[in-house]
Parts: sequence; structure tokens; C-alpha cells
Amino acid sequence: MDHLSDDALMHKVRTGDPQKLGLLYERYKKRLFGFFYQMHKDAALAEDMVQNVFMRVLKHKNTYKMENKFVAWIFQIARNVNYDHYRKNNRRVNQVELDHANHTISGERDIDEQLVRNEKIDALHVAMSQLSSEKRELLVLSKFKELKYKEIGKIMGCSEGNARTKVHRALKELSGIFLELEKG
Amino acid sequence: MDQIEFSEILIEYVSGKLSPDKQEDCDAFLLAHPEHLQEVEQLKMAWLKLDDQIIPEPSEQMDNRFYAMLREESQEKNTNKDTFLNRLRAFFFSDDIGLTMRQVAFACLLLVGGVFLGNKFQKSVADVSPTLASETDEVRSELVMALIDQPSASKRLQAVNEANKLDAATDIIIDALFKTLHNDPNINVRLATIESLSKYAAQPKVRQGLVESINQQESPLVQLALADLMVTLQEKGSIDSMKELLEQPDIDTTVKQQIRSSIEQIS
Repeated sequence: MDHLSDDALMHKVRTGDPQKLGLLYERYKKRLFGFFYQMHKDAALAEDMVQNVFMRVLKHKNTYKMENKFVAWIFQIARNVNYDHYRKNNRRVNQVELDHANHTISGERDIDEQLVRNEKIDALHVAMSQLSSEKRELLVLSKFKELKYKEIGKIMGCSEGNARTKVHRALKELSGIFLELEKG
Repeated sequence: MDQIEFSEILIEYVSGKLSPDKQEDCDAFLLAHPEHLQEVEQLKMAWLKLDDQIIPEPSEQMDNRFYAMLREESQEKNTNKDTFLNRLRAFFFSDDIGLTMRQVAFACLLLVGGVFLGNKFQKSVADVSPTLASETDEVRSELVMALIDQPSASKRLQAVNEANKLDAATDIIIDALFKTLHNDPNINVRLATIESLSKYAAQPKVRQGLVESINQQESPLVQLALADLMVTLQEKGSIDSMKELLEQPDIDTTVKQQIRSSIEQIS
């Protein structure tokens, strides 16, 4: 059913049928929420930013070109929303905000397991917060199975090869931070 | 494979984005060059640790806000409803005309509406003014409702095909389509109904209805069409319904295989 592809739906939105954006919203809302949540560890903020992304999709719908992949285009918008948030709030990108980390005590009987899990999450938060915003974005984007490095390059505004190199460096840096934390 | 090539694709190797052949080449390279193993293991460990992140589910509020914004956007695009349909309704339901006259007038509307829509509206509705497009949709909706309960399967099929041409379906049309999907004795009509409903799958109510329809259908062709649609929509909410369908004792073997494949493609 070609009329349900991302491109076809976005074409409909562009040509006067905004309702079709609903289906694109359903397809991408969780990935976008996950992206913003991993950047900021704030669920309410992540929801605001998702809303912002779709408002911009509507506002700038005429800039969408059929030859681009929709996933790359919408994540470019997401990055811009992220960048604007940092600029507006004048936040230091390496600031650690463990308060926003969502640790839920599940029904697990083994509290030790839960504590170990929480420690792992804390370690990840600390390590990620020590990376630059760009490196965190790269790592979060590279985790999405459907994003190849070609698309990541388009989102980040660089070549495919460059995207690979950048992710490699980010992961290497993250790995180094984990090793330091373990020693500490 | 040499070291330069390995370095270029190392990150894809670590992140599992390589084809199986390339993956094997890298495994072979590492076997031959164990000095790279430590770096690879550290990178893999860091990659896996990224999965320690727990991401909560977004709240219902996020959906509510989005759909409220979309409604506002749609309302801005709509012009004031023309009074054509109101005039038409006033004529048909006026107390001044008798029942026989009303039946004759309605039959004439069906005839004229069918000919008009069939011959005159071949071009895309986007080519005509919004006012005319809105009128066309309303006439078309009336036609759908008039035909969808007809004894003739070809008339019911015509109703479903007309519904497919609507720019926006009302709740009444959507409900009528679901009633057809669940109850129509003709498989072709039910298959056409799925095609028609897929057009409105952006609406949560329609998606939910389609998911609930999965294990209500007995025809293998209809079951497969619904499963294909769920894959296209990537509707994770349909996985449980499809699993329930797999549990049915009399399920067709081909359908069973296809449903399993559909579940994998969505998960």
C-alpha cells in the first residue's frame, strides 16, 4: 500500500491534508520521545519537544523534498528543536541531572538486583552527561536500528563516512569514561 | 580484509549493522589480528551499556495535545460549510412533500449522484475549489450510506469504493465500514473495506477497530489482508490479537506462517 508510505503521507500533508500527519505521528512519536528523553532525562520536557517537532513539520511542510528520507528529515527537525532548547535555556551541555532519572522500583523481589540495575543506569547517566551534546545525539541516533549511517550523516549534516567516524569516536570516549568510573 | 577496511566498518560491526557476510569477514579478521580484540570488546561493552537506559512511556497528554493541534490546523483549512446540503436536506425532509414524492426524489438523487460522480469527478478533488470538494464529499457520503446496506454485493462494493474516494470520512461512515467488515457475507466487499479503512488509519479509533477485527475474521484472505496492513502500519498493538489468532485450532497453515512473519516484522 504505497499510499501509506512516509513519503506519500507527507506529500498529502503538503498538499492540504493535514490529517495524514496523524499516521506519521503514530509511527514516530515513540522514537522522538526516546531521543529527547535520552538527551534530557525529563519526560515532560521530552513530550513538549515532540509536540514542537510536529508543529515545525506543519509549519515547514513545504521544505520537505520527496527525494529525502522522511526519517532523516524529521530527526533533523528534532535536532534543531534540541539545539534551540539548549540555546534558550543556556544550559551547560555536560550538566548532570540525576534528579530527572526515572528509576522505578518494580515488583522485583530481589532488591539487590534492582539496586545493581539502578547503579548501572546511574553510571550510564553520568557517563553520557560527560559527552558533548553532539556525541550524545550521535550515540542515541545510532541505536535506532532503522537509521543507517547514511541517514545519520544527513541528520548530522555530514557525510556517511564522517558519521561513522564520529560515532566511533563517541563510543570510544564513552567506553573510556566507563573504565574511569569503574576504577573510581 | 585489511586493517583500513576493518577500521572503516568497525563501528558497524560493533553496532550489529553489517550484513552477515561482512560480519563473518570481521570475525575472521579479528581471529587473525587478536591485538584489536581488546578495543572491540570495550566498544561492544559500551554499546551494550547504552541499552541500560530505561525510557518511560509518554503520557496520554502528549497524544491529546498533538491531536488538538491537528484539529485546529484542519479547522483553519475548512471554509464555512456551503448551504447546498442543508438546502437538499430541507427539501427531502420537509413536511410539505409526501412520502411517495420523497422516495421518488431520493431515487433521482441516487441516479444523478451516481452518474455525476462516475463521469464528472475523474480528476483529483485537489484540482477543484475547497467548497466544491466539501460538497462532493457530502454527496458521496450520502451515496455510501444509501448503497452500503443494499442486497446486491456489487452495490455494497460500490459503496465501499465510494468511501475510499472521500477526503475525510465522518464517524458514521467509519462505523458503517466496520459494520461491513464484520458482517458482510461477501469476501470481496470485506477486502475492499479493509483498503478503504486503511485510508483513515491515522485515526486512533480506526487503528483500534482494525486491530480488534483481526481475530474476528474467519476468511484466510481477510486475515492475511489485515495482517499485511498491520505490518504496513507497524502497529505493535496488533501483536496480541495476531498471537490469539495463531492459537485458533482451525487456522489455515499458510495464514499461520504469514501471521508469524508479520509479528516478526512488527516486533
